[in-house]
Amino acid sequence: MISKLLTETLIQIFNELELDELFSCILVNREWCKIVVPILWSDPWKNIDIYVVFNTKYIGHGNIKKYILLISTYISCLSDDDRNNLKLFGIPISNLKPFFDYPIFLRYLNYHHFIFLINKFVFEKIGNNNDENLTKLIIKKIWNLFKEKCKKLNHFGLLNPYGENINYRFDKIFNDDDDDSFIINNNGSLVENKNIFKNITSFQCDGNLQPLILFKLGNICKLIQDIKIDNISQDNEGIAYLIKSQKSIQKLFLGFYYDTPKSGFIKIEKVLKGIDSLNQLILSAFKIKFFTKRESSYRELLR
Amino acid sequence: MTSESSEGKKVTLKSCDDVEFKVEIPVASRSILLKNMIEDVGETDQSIPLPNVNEKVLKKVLEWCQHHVNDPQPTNDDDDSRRRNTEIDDWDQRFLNVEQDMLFEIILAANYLDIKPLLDIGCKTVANMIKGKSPEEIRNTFNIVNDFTPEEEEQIRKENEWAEDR
Repeated sequence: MISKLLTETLIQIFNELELDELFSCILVNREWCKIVVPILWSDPWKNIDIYVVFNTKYIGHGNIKKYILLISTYISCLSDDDRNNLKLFGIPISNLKPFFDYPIFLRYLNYHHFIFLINKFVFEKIGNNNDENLTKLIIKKIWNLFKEKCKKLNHFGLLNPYGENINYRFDKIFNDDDDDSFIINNNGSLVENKNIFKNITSFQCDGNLQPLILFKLGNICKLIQDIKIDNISQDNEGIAYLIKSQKSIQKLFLGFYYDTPKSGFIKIEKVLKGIDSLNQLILSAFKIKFFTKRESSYRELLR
Repeated sequence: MTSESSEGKKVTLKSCDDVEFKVEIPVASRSILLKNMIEDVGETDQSIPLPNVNEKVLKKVLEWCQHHVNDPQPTNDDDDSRRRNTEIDDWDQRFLNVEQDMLFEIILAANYLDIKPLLDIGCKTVANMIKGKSPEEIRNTFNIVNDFTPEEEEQIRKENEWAEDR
């Protein structure tokens, strides 16, 4: 009988499976469901093609369309008040309480996937009179849900497919988060609010991300081991600060784009020299005169 | 076949149904549990009791250890690389082509004896038995009873249908 296998062994077996195979396992019986749901919901966006995300012309693009249902389930996890509020906007809301508290399982979050799907969701539900306020409201509500519930976030990605539309930019919601490093618990006492980003070990963003966000993340996150930053076109001191703030960074990818600014990438360059935990450094450059020194001088960083 | 220092030296293992196996130390040492025990205890004539493994399963597991005696020992920090390697080689495939109950017994023993590569291919074999099957087909394969109410099953299907293949 398969039921005699240990739960940890079943987890190892299920980790070999793709999302659609996990879906089948969820419906087998209660025991399997309880083990598989956390795996399935740890990285629900994992099969979403990034090229589709960045080409906003795609709508209802086969594979993408079904992921809109993901947003429906997250919405069903919102509070009654929030759900009633969304009902007023014409969003169909089920009265059933969800079977699991799905947001708690999230371990991988790419902000670009998240806003992309909410955009598609609103378009699908409301149609052409696409309401930007509604999109912003849903982004905010689900983001708050993640912040409150998700304690095991491992990876955060922050590319910006909506560069033109400042309303969806991450800083818009992140800056509102400012003063909640402490919250009042049920007993009325002040407790530290475990920040959703506190334990991430992997981070990805665009090189032109506002330095302020990177400074803030640098203050919260100290445990990142794997950083990937592409399209760096300026000597972003936020990047330098984030890298410098990590206790034991191991893998670093930096992709440079366009011509080197006159001053070079001095701040980033300086911080690279100071890391001794690194065991993989990849620097890539497109049409660029590299740094102030030659690339080879960075090879010594590699063990 | 064996490393110089332990050439020819043997250790006696005793299954839970009291059958003794004399095994060359490098073969037994495929099991990290046994390897550590042997290192701790040193040379001994006493047999090592394995209360969780019966004769049939122990014989099978030792057959695997014998075949893989010269494989490099897995290190602790290669979790990622283990996962990426999805191939099971021909010999292992034939080795694990056994009745389901025996397959689960081997996996349990690999877990208990701490033989990671055997545990890995065991898990992959079970995963391959799941792939491409509907929930009902999976239940039939492993003889699992569906204990959901129809309403529960419908709700869970709906909440997770974004992951469905279609």
